[in-house]
Amino acid sequence: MIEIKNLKKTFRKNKVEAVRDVSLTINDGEIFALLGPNGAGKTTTMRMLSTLLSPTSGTICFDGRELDMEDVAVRRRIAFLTNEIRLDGQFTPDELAAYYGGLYEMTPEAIKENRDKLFDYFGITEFRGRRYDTFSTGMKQKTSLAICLLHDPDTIIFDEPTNGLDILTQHLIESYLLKLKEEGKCIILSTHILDLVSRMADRVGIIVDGRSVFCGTVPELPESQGVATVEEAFIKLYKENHEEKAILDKKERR
Amino acid sequence: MRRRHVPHVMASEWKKTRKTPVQLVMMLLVPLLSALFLVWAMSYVKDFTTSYQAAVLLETPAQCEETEELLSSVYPDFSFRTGTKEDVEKILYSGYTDCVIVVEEETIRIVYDSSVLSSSQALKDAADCAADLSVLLEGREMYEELQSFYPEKEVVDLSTDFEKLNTYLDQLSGVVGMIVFLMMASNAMTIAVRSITGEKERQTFDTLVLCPVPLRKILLGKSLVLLQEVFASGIVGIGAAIAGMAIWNRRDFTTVCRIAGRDIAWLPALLIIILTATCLITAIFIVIGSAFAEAKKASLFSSAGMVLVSVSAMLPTFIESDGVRYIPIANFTPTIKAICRNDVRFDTLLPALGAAVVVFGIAIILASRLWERNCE
Repeated sequence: MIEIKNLKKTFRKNKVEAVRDVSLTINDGEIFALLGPNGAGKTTTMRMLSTLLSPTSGTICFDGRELDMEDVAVRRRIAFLTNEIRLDGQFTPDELAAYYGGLYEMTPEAIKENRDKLFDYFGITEFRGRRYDTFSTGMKQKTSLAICLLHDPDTIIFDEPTNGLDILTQHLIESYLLKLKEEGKCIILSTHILDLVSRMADRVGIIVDGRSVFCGTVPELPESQGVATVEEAFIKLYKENHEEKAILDKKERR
Repeated sequence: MRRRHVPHVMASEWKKTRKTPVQLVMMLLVPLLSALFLVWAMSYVKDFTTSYQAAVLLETPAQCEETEELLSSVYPDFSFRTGTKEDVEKILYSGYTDCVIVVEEETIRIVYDSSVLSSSQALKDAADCAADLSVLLEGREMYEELQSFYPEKEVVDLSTDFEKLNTYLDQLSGVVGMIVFLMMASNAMTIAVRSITGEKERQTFDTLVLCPVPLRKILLGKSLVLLQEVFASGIVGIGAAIAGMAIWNRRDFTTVCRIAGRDIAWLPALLIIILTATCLITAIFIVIGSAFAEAKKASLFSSAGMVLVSVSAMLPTFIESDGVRYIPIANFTPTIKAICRNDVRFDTLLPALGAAVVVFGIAIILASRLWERNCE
């Protein structure tokens, strides 16, 4: 279980408050969707969860243990994938698997077993000897996903994982995420595709202007806002909280 | 299963830095050409040295006065002093006298020490001097007769082989220092940019940082492999310097070959010491430079650092004497001499080596801290 309490992140250089106050609870064996408009602080929260960024204040606890940036034990348990993360273009998928598997201290047998399973599933096997930089966007994304999952992590953090992919690849990735959920893995998705949330997520957290404004199951979201759909609930929450913030900012300026 | 992360990162980095033959040639061309150019330029610099000192030892004070006057008018480049016969070595080594011309009954002996000779031209002029001296002493009309009377002019070099090596290294250390640091300045920039900052820009570094491996191990593994280029450039640069010497400075080259032929062990020792020092300094700048988030900043930092090191290395250490003489700070002569004489004292070498490794370690830690700060 992951517990995020009063998380805050201010970037020193440009003094931007990317995350102001985020508190969420994410359970094992569920798909948790993190929703929010562009610039709400989803990616920053995800990067803090994956130890790539350190919080300015607040805590992130993995199974009751507070996370810190040098926590290699936690890193061994998580996988983080985003559209912005790339793999070394000079390597083939086989070489990438051997390299990253080695860094995760996997045995050659375990690397081979997991690699073959993932490569087969994502249709990489026939391209395993080709350089990564010669792949199409979809194939790159699938390879990145396979390499990220090679060490069999408990927690998978995906920042807009299907962004820019064709329907077939999207379907393949979504199916695999559901398979992982069935295996009891915790999956955190950051997205602004509401349809994906409705279809896949068990619970949802909404961030507006760096603040968490909702955390609950998907059916609870429209109910709590007295509307019919997830989309309407999201828009209502956004308007209320964004307008509230605008009023607060105006007062502060005065 | 417990793996060693640093060798694992190194193995991967090795694959990443594979080069095409054209890239390899281009990489090695810079040190090759700069070394050849510098040695060529140095061969001219040597001949531009025109101020010599010589002592002429004669039988009587009267001869001395007359001789000094004449020689000074004929050889304005020479600063002469005369005296009666004393201990030759004592005169030779006082105030860096290039040579001593000893006039004896049947021989005019030119005594010099190649390890303190300011120029090869000095010796040629001294030989001419000796001939003129004959004219002075016996009269111009007796010149031909005297020439046949003194058929042999003995030339005696008092310096030992190690002193010759010492002189050669004194001259070479400046050239090699320049070559090595010039190469480093250009290489460090590329290496620092490509090693980690470039990876950040290509968005490949996050995947690596997400692995359960401390950042300092990743930095160490990458730096160690990238230094191969500096090492290769260094070997090519020094090789080119020796080849250039063979073409433009046959006299020093012959001396070096003679010494090397007798005890070749000093040559790899020279390479190892110079290259290790070079690599360590470069590594420090690579790892610190790599902590910057932008390639432009990283390259600026590395270049500025390398230029500062180059300038400090070329700063002279003055040796006190009547004339001014200096050697560059980056002078490996004492260490090389100790190695050649089998007189290496590890108790003096180890602290220096230890200090270098500690500085490198601090640079690695500093780089990882800077990197973390960039995330804040």
